[in-house]
Amino acid sequence: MKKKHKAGKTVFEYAVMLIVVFVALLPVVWVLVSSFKTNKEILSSSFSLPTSLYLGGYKEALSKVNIPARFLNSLIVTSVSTVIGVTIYAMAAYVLARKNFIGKGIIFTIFISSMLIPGNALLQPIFLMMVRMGLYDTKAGLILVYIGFGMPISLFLLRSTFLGCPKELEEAAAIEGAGFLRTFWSVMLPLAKPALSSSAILMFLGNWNELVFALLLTSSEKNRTLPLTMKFFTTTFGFDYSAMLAALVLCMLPTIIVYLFLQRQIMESMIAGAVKG
Amino acid sequence: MRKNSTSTKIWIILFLIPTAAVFCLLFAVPLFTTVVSSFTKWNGMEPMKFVGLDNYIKIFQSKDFLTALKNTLIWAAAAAFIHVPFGVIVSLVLFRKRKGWKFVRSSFMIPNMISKTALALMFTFIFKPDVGILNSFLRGIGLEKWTHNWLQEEATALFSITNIWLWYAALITLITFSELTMISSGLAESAKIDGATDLQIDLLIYLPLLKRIIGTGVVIAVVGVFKEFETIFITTNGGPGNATMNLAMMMYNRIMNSSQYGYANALGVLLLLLSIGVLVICNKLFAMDKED
Repeated sequence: MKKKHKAGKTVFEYAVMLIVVFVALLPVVWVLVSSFKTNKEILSSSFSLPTSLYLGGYKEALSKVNIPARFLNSLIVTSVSTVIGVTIYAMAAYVLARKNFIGKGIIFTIFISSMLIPGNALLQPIFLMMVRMGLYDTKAGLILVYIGFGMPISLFLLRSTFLGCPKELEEAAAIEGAGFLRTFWSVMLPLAKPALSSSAILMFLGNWNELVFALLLTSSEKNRTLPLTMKFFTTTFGFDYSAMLAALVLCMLPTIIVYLFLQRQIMESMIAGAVKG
Repeated sequence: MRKNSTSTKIWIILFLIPTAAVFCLLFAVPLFTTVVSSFTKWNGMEPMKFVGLDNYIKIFQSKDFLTALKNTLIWAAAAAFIHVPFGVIVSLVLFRKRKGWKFVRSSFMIPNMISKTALALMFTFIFKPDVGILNSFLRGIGLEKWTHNWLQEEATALFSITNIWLWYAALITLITFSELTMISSGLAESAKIDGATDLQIDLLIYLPLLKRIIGTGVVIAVVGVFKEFETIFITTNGGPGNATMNLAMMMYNRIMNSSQYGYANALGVLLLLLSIGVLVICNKLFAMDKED
């Protein structure tokens, strides 16, 4: 009886694992395989393997939209916002964690409260502000918004790391004659490396995939980011499925490749971000 | 408390200014505008005209809103009662560390890594009436009559797009799993010696210890679906009719298509209140604010 029970459990566990892999990978694999099929092949049978490695879809997709340029735009906007964001939040987090001044707690609470605000609820005011500041349809405008998105989680992660740093190090630095900046830069920042990379990863991932603000705040091709390409293809290609699928592959491949290389760090960052936030 | 020297004081201020500026520009001022304008009639060109609670009254009387609210709440319930439990079950199964568990975990993360937009676009192919794999599969196994134009029929649209996010619970699995690794294995082992089955260990030992992390998961998931926009935007745009409209989508339409900013921002305020509500309820329910 007990043995039977155990076998049943093993079956259940493997069944769950199988379902998970199936649910997770089937759409991705199907899209990847189908992107090498001609439109006719896709229309005649959705499951068949491509008869030959058809690259027409990719050619078509690349000729319709300058995907490399958009990739570059995404890279610029996301990297710049991540670097600036993590830098200024590290500065603020350091002061909020290690220095004493009036209103410290309140300032931190107010900053962190931004976590509760769904970005979408501020869509229209931010849009209007960007127009008024002359930042509509500029990379700078989008960068500014993306810097803001990273605020609550980065501040939280970095502050708790700085809080945990031993006091002695700072004191030793002071005795050595290191000033405020030097202590921050050469003593404290290196200690916060894990939190810095977690914040950076979370900010980068979130903003790399961001669609709504990118859609609203940019209009010209030179500022469009990668996620918008996918929206573009749903409206433009209509029935050219192999081009649409090829475009989709080109949009998601970079993310998947980066993920495969940085898996451990990404998972750790997501755990830190979710649990501490 | 040691007194700060003047130069330190200046540094403190300098270090806080950038963050404070970003906060004011992107959170404080927009939030203020959202809340204030929600009591006005405003198209962005002319000055705001104070109308009291008019927008809110109009919202609550509109059928569109009730549909959007209903859909938003259906999704919140699906997130709390299907999405999160599924993620937790997967993490408990993975925690047995059967052969291949790492591969399963890595695979599960992939849909979470590619954007919601990409995932939604993929599913528009799966649900296509002619070439979609779902219908092809149904035809293949002789269930022709079960085929649908999944995204375009009122009866199936909401169900279909729910499936685009419902099972992708890798974040929940990830945080529950990391919590499981922190629970001492001694507890489970001594229970095993006392003759407890694995299922009993899961239900009676692990689950109570996971209460707070599950609470965190519910907050993340529910607040996440409140904001959910891309999935709908890419697939159905809220249609057919209003069948898949939610609050975020409705707000976007009001801003883009009709410049009813006061009305749209009142929707924004309601969205904000809903999110805060969920946070408060979950805090109480899962006793997340208690230290143990």
